[in-house]
Amino acid sequence: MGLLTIIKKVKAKEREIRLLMVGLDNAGKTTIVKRMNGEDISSISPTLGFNIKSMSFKGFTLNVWDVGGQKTLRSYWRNYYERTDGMIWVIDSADIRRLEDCRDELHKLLVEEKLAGASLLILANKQDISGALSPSEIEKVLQMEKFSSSRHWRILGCSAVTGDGLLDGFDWVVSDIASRIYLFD
Amino acid sequence: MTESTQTKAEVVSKRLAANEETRKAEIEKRREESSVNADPRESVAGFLAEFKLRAGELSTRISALCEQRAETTEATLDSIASDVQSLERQVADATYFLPAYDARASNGTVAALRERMAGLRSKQAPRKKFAFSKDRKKAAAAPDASSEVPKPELAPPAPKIGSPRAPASTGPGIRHRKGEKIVVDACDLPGGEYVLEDLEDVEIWLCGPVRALFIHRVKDCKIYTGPVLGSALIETAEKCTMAIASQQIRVHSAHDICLYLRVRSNPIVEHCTGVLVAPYAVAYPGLPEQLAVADLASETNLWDKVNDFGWLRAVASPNWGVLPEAGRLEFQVPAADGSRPKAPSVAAQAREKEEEDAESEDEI
Repeated sequence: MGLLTIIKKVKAKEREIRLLMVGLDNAGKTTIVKRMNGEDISSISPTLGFNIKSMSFKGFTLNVWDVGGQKTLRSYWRNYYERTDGMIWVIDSADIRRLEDCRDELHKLLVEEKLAGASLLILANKQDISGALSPSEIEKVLQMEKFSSSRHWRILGCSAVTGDGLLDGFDWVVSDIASRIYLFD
Repeated sequence: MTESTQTKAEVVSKRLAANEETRKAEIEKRREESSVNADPRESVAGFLAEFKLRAGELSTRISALCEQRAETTEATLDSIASDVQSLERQVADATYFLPAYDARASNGTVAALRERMAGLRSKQAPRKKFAFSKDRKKAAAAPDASSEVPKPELAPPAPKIGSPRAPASTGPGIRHRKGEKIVVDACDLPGGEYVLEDLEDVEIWLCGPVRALFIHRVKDCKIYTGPVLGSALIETAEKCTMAIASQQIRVHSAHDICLYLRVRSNPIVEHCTGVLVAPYAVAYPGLPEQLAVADLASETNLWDKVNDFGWLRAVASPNWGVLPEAGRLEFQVPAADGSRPKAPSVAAQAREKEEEDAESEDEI
């Protein structure tokens, strides 16, 4: 019995998945988490620090780490990388001006060794706002082609306000992680 | 008996003397041998003396060039450079037997020489370095495929970013204005995101709801908005007055601005100085209804609960404060040009003028 098998068995028993929500400030990370959890989203303050939410999803326990995205907080992101199974990178699709910033921060994240095995879901949030860029337009700017060989990733449009696309996104990331870690027999 | 004793003593002393002699000879021999075997280059003192001499000589040659006592030519520079290099090699060879301090000191001396050489060279041919690197890039790009890897990274982003960027400049908003007064009515607002960018000395009224508001690079501006249903993001603002009702407000890199806020969450500032906050006080026809729809009809009392992300301490942040009640203003939309009923135009203009006067007085 190899070490990997042991780890897989332990994880399978817990059926726990650790997700890291990251992205620039004003992307809607906290709103997405609260929306998924069915909480009120009308008075969410910009996150100073981080929030942890546990929720059940398709028989798994998701531990979602929602980390503040303000510039001053980004240097602390690396404290949350350990043991992350999947990350959700949230983008404000209406904030075209900072899309390049967004790409640079994402690329910084993707070369992190501790996140090397994590699945990546990119949520192009705020699709309900007229003038928001479509996921395919954002994909072009993000230049993900250089990472596509080494990582499981997907980009999906969503709206935290209407809830569109959130379930699809979480569905994909959870099943991708599950197929990687857990043995379905 | 005595005689025999004497002779014996003589014999012994002779033997001792002979022994002594052979011992001395052996020592001498060993010394000679060791001195023959020893590498003269391994003598620390010898190395240091020679090093000092050569370093001193190079230093004077470089100084001569610096002070232009000698003619600076490519050849002289090259010869000095090669001498510095050979000196450096000597130091490198000697490091294994040199004491740590001497090795460090010698390396320092060589580095200093090298630096002075580089300085001389750039003075002599400032463009040489540039041409050289350009040549190298060209040469490397042609034959070697692996060295081309960074190239596509550098080149293509421009067009790639260019195309998705295009909608930003054509999207709804007001950009690149100076010294104007602009009133945007609800019917002219798209209801989606709205951008105010690169404005100087502009007064703007957004008399209607928008979903998201981006304010970027504004200076000496007055910006009054109706309800923002989502978030307002202000980045790089200077000496501005803004009145905004919104669900969320983020202010980055703003200096000396006055914010009249009604917000459903804590407003935040980051990298800001001189931010003053006050409660939202804007009036234009239809605003109360719009605020009600946006769930901002009544005061939320969060306008002064500002979080400064650059000041995570128990003491109050020095970067923002509350505008004293006496200095607070109320903003009434000016009866505007053309789109609004012009009926009491003279009166309206007079009122507008009065307001402006009042404003400027207050600001003083």
